[in-house]
Amino acid sequence: MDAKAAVKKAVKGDAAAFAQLIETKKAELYRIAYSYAKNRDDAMDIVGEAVYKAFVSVGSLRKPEYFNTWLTRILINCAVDHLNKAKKTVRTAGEVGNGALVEPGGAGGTEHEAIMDLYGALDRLDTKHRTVIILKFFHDLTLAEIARVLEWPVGTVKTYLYRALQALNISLKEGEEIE
Amino acid sequence: MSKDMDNLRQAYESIPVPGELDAVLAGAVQRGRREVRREMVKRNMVRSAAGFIVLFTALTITVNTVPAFAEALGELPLVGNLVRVLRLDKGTGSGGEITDGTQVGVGGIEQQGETEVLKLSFSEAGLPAETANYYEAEYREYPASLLFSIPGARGLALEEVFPDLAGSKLVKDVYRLVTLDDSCERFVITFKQPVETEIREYTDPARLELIIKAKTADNAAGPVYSLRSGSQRFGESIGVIEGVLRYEAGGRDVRMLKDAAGTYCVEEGYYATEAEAEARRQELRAAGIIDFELYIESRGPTDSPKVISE
Repeated sequence: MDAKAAVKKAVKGDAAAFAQLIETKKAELYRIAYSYAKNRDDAMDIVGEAVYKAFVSVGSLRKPEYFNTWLTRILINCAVDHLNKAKKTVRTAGEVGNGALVEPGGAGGTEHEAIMDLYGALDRLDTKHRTVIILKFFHDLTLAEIARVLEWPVGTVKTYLYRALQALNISLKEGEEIE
Repeated sequence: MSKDMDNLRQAYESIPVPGELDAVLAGAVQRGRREVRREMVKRNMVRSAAGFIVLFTALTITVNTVPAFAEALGELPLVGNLVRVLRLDKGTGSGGEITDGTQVGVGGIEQQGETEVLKLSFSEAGLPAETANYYEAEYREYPASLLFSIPGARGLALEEVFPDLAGSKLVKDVYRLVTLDDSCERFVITFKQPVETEIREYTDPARLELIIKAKTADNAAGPVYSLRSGSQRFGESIGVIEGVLRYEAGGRDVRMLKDAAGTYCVEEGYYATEAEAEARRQELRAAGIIDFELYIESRGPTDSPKVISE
């Protein structure tokens, strides 16, 4: 079954079709959630909550072609809610570096260092700038798609993107433009 | 894109996806399914309630504007929470819900043309109960009578139960039975002639309406031969006799009846011929189960048991 047909079925209440769609998107969803939560358990909670909310409301999705951006928006909203709640809790032992938790069974060695660098970079950004960077450079979304996910004008997305790159001290290659 | 961003992307893509995520996703979909089902049930309930309001409003308007409809409606149990209708021409039926501590009350008899209606109510701690207590009803003939057993009932409002029957064409008597079980109430309604009965059960508040209609008398019906105890006052000893005949002797048609003088007897059963009744009496005597006398009495369809003093 292709994705479009699966979305149409999911909208009509087909749980198996919905589960199939989620299966193809689960790694993307998890990594976005992990970028916000920075630990495995919270990231899984965020994804679980987002998938639950998506299942309950998928019947109201008017345009099946926007399923991915719609799902990503739900996930980001859940992640932001999670961050807001986490701010209210006291951080406990086990935290290292830039707020990342040491994961039992997680990435090790060089991979772990790379991920710590990633956190270091993303931590220099607030939630909105971080989101734009993740969607643009890690998920290859176009500005229009990011605008749809975040429900912002395209110009605003572009502005946030330039500011985020500035904060990361990353410049585009010569001749390269943000489309 | 710059090398720095490529490195960050590589780091991002190296974030391992845990195997436990699959279980989390399956759980989330399950939770979603439950929520969707709950919402559907809620929506359907709201729709049903709205439909009921529309129907009720239409019915109210029609009843108040079309006299013929109002008259016809009087014959039908459309309005109210009618939950069960039992017909008991000859046999048994049950209804209500199992509960405990209910008080049972019986209202007066209402005449509705050729039909008479006897109403039973249920209360708990002085307040009207929402659902009728579990009840069993059994219609028998010789004489035509209806036995109500209400397990879980802890009281029978006697003063209310036995209304003035002087105006009734069909109901001869209503009386309570001795029941050697504190958690059960029983009473019998006897009729002046064979009747057709129907029980309509309502909720919120709980009530039973016993609809009674005369049945065409079978003039060819001859007498039966009742095998019964002697007459006893209302009390424990008549209850013991009933227990012996029902449980020790295995009588399937055992019943307690009030006799013509207001005392009570227990009937083991009735038989088509005197010989059959006699055979059963000898059988019970031979088994050595009974230590009281049993009598054979000839009785017509509308006769009460005679007084047999011991």
